[in-house]
Amino acid sequence: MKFIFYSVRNGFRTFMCQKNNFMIYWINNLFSILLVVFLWQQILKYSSANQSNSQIVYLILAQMILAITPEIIYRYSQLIQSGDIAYKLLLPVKFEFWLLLDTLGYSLAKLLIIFPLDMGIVFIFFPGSLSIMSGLLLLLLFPMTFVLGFTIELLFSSVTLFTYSVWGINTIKSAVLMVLSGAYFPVSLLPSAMKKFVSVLPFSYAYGQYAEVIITPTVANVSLLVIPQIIWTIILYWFYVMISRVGFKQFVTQGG
Amino acid sequence: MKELKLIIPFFKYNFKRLQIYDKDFYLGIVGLIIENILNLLMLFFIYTLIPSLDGFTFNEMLLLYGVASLSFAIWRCLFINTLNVGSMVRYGRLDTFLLRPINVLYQVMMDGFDDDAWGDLVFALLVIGYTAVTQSINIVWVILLIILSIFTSLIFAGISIVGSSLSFITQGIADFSQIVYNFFQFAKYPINIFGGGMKFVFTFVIPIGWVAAIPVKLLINHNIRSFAFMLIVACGISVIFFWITTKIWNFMLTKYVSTGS
Repeated sequence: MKFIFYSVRNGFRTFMCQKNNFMIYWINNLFSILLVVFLWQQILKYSSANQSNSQIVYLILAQMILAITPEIIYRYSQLIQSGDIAYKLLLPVKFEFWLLLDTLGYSLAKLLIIFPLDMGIVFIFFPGSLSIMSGLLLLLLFPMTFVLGFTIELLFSSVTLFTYSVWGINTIKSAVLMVLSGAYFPVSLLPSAMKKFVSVLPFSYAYGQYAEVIITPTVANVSLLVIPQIIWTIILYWFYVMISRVGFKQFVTQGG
Repeated sequence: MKELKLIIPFFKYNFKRLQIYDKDFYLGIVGLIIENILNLLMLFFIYTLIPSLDGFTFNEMLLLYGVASLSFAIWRCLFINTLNVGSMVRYGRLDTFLLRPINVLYQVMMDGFDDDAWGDLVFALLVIGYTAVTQSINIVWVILLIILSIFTSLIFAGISIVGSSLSFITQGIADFSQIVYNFFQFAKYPINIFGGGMKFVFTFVIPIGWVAAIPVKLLINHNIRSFAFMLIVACGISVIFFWITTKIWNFMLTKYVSTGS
């Protein structure tokens, strides 16, 4: 228990040390939101789709979760390139568990910085779009959403065991998330064939569907989010274990 | 002149560096192809909902996307290393550049380039070529758009220069250079969809509207005389903006204190 607390706290403090970067996170987040708001206001104005503000609030929430999901690919690659991964593998706990706790702390700190800004925008410009139930679900569903997002990142990160560098796989990951996560384009507005395709993949359950449930909080929606999240986390983690088992066997440390 | 002579040795050095992570290099190229295709797919999805966006049809939007991407790809090919100024400051590598009798900003830019951006550049040219054929755009205007992109890449360079120069006063801890990626996202869409305040900023303060939105709008409206005039204006604005940002860089460099790493 102590280990869990200290690992999360360590991640939290790592982020909080970078006070100069808070402004960067705010600006990056604000820019992403401004782009989706202006673009989708135009799209919804001229489209036959549902013209309510809920789609824009959905995109703000999806952008928020995208912003706080840790990009552990860079962390993983850094550990591999520096050779520090050897130390981490010698820890008395699983390396992945330590990484989860550390990044959880980091993401919680990021959430603390970004959450007030995003919620401020929602409450000022789109009043009445979120209920108290939405707020509760936002907090309750966050842990599982975070774990799935982490597992997706972990799976992509395992490729660095073979490539040592990260740029290529991160480009692929970003491209996949752009279309399949629902963070840039509401899943409900996708063409029907694409919507079906997205619903059988894990990415939207870590981003877009989470935002969708917060906008329309029903028991059915919650279960349609949480059950796939649990199933996909197990499947993706299993894939990660398989890949990393091979990866760690052939991996040669750079000496650190 | 000294700087020009050094371009080829710098390029050779950077290409050799790429060979260290060859698998990642190929993955990166595949990733960028996927990224570009998916970007176009997103545009296509948007146009399944609406017939036009600020008067731009799908094919016209492709032209806008192509021109903005070309300008950004040129920036990535030649000037992207300014994004690393933060780490150069943190680890003391900038001190080495300061000791050499060559312009510091030039050294920073030449010290590394984005290998897979060349693929992006080819993809942007293909998109422009495709839309030129489908929209029956004269080859002369296409060549002028390419020249325009070379100039407007200086706008992206200027943004990253100002962003990275903040590293000098924060010892590399805070680095705003990545903000250039945000501006690229705005450059891909018609400037009129943003509010009045943002439109003003993107036209007169941080002139990313000139990268593609303003010239392409005139071109698709067949306002050729205005288009030709605006091309000259856009090139002038790009050079002036870049010049101003280099002055800011030089001023901020005087505030630099080495970390001693």
